Amino acid sequence: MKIERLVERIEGEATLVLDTSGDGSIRFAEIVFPHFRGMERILERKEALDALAITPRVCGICGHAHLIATVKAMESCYENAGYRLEVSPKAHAIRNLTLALEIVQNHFKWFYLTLLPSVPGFEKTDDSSILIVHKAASLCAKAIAHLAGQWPHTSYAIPGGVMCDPTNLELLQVESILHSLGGIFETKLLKMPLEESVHMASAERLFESEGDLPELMRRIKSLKWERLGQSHDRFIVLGDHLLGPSGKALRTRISSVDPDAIDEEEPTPVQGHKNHAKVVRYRGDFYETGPLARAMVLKDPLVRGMRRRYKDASLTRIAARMLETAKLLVRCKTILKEIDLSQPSYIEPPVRLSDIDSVRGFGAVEAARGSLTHTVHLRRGKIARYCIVTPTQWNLAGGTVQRPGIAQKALIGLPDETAAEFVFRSFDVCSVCTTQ
Amino acid sequence: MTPKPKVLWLQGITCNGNSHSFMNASDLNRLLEDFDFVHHPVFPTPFSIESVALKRVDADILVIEGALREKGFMRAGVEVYEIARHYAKRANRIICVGNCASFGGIFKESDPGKITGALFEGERKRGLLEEFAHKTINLPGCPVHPQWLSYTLRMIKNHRNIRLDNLFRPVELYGYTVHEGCLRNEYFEWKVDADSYGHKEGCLFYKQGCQGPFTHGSCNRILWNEVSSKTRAGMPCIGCTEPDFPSGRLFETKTLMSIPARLPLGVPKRAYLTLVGVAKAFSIPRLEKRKFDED
Repeated sequence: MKIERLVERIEGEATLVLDTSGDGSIRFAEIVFPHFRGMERILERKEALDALAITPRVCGICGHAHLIATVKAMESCYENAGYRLEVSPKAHAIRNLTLALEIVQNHFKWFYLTLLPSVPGFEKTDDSSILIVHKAASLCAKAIAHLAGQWPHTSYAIPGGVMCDPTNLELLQVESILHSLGGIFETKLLKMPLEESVHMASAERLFESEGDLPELMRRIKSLKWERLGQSHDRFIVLGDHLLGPSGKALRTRISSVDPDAIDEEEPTPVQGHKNHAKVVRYRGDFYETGPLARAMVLKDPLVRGMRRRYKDASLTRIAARMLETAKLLVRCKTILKEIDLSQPSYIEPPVRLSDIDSVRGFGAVEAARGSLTHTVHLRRGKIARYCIVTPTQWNLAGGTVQRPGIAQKALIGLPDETAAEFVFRSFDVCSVCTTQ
Repeated sequence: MTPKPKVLWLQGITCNGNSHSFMNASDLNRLLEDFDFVHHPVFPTPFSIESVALKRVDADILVIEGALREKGFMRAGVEVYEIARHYAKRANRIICVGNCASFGGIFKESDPGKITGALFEGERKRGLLEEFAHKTINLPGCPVHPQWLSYTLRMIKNHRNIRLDNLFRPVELYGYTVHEGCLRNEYFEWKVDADSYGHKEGCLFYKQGCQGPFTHGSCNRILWNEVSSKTRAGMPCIGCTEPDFPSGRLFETKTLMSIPARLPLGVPKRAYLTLVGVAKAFSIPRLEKRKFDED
């Protein structure tokens, strides 16, 4: 039987087209993203730097990652044209901080507003969980604003550095906010000191702990859902990030990545529906990106332990994402301490982009949902072509029955529609990013 | 007890930035108590987008986020334009949040003429829901400031009259320029420009393209995330509350005969030039060096 299930609150909507057997289990799944806004086309013919203001508007929840991807793509234009571009460690640190804080607000929102309501027994979201998210997310935004002016939608980073010039006053306020965010994590998500969460290596210990995360994990076990959502066990991390370098993992074997091996195909209709999700592969194979991929490439002991037992199931994905939140908060504190305010925020590039005849640039960042890459072709400082590949395109790319995509593989074989929606949401789907 | 006003938040062609901006409202707690959010795209609400699309929901206040087009953009299988029309007809008030819903924003550029704001396409009043102008309020900005929306909702609830400008923006929010309250005002007064990004000193109006002096908005009066603003941090204002957003070449100042092509709102060119002449005739060492430099 063919079932169509609309999923909302994923930064827009998507439709799961499920082919089910007599007992309701899922034989095959396809995913339809109906919306199209034409962001890449809007960018064409614009001044290169205008992209700093435009690409963040691809996405209201991860716009900052788009900004940094644009900056990196433009900076690589300089390098590819043979110019040396200098960015101070201070500017790098500030960019990393604001990017990490955007990831943290995303993970809080995903856990309480997107994922929890899809688990039987937790469907009813009351105002209290909205208010936990509100508190955490607005604190992240405030910390970003201290450095970047506002969140969402700042364009404070630019080739050569950042536009801000913070004093110790701002840094101390960011530090206080990091402390408060750690407090929310410790009192709501995982009730133990943040430092302990970060160094925890045993999955048993996590299951037995107190807090909304272990409670959810126990619920998933009691539903016998702990092995649902397994996919290809292939992971990709294209950007260097605050917690580690880029790389890929085939099961537990780690190797480096080559951005030239990414291939991208235009979307095709799904069962008569218009669909606007590009298909993205690495050397012809589908790879999962996101917090689980980052943890696998980092050889995180706890996540590796969970993978040994449950494979790349939704449960492993959830634990990886929420523990990444704790790690980012701890790492942000260190980065903040290391900032040397006497360094320049911005070092003017040697020439203007309009002085370069024709050049291609590539930028990769790790966004909340995984690897985000921007490729830009500039001609005399104007955008000739702009190409964006988002994390959700990696995770949700549609394949065939013989070679299903990441989310497709995770959905095939599930017992019913409810489980399908849970597994689908475990990828932290972003509809607007998928169909820019 | 009077019933709580029912708020329905509907998205057209959008990035969800206004929804996420709203999640930062410092008084969200209070708003959730005072209003009944029947549908919102980010936090769970009593009605799903499917119920909204099937027109089964009652709403007193319709919040529109995102641009509209007559055909080709659907929510839950129904054209958003049709859904928006249905609720626009029945709601007492319509609030357009963000530049896209107000003027078409960035997304109008992908199909000019077909994609519009609710009342306006740019500054031309020929949006798809123009007939509902009498009950509509525009809150442009990319995104909307959560406090601007909170102000509007609470003014409506309190039955207070909201005075609007000719682009349907509340004057108490948009009767200021972004320049007002900017920490760099002293540099503007004495015509000291920022020679580079990344400095807390200098005005961004002369080289970096800051549109603060001619952009309507209270970004430096009602601070962003309660603590800052773009210009305070060091980023030029890009004019996101105006119908021509995004204008091109946002990070450089367009000049005519080496003076800024667009002058501060309402300031005659002669007055501006006179003032520049006087200010530039003096050198003020305190403003020309870095703030914390010794001696």
